[in-house]
Amino acid sequence: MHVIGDLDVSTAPELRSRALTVIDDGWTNLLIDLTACAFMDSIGLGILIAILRRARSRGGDVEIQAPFDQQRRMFALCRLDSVFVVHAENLSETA
Amino acid sequence: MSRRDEVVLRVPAKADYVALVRVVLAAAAAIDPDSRDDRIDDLRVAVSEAVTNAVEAHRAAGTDSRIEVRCVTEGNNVEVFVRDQGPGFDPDTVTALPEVDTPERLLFEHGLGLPLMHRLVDKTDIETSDDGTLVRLVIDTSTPPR
Repeated sequence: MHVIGDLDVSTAPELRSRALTVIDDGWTNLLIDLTACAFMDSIGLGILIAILRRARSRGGDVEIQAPFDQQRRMFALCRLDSVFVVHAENLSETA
Repeated sequence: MSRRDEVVLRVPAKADYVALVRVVLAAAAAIDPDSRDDRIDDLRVAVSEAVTNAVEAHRAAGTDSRIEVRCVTEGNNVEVFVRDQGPGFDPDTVTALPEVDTPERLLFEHGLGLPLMHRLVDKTDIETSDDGTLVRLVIDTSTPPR
């Protein structure tokens, strides 16, 4: 899944809804790509936790593509860098 | 001596306005040529946390009054005040995050905002009462992140 734009209180509920639907449809292993995510706050991180929780409850997992330092810093500050597998590569540059 | 400037916003307590506030304040803080991009990013997130909390406080209180955000800049020093008219809360009761290797960590979908604010800016003050909450964020945008 690609997140495009800001991930905050006004947009995170849509990601939550879409991702949980995908998981409930049987796609339990997700890669959420934040390459085009210009901004993320704790509401966005909280939604990612909810998605991870649902995926693991179905036997799957969630990995995060977070190519920007600020994104990875957010995961570290909230102590989520050991909860998620976080990839630092920029997929758009390596493609 | 640096010039002291002030930006004041009074915005509806709606989620759609959180992005507007952080864009305006980040732009105001970035005017100083010595400001660091990573510290502006920190400020942007901290402001988003404070304003989001204010929006949720107004929703809890059922009030449609506006949230006031004031940003005072003096060179690299930036102070942001976010005032809401929500029901208030006790910041001391905010639960610390569990260790990362405990299953309970995944139960913390909410409650990340206040700890994050404290870690992103140099100083955070919270005054809260039954009449609302005032959050003050202070950051020197020329210094590296903590």
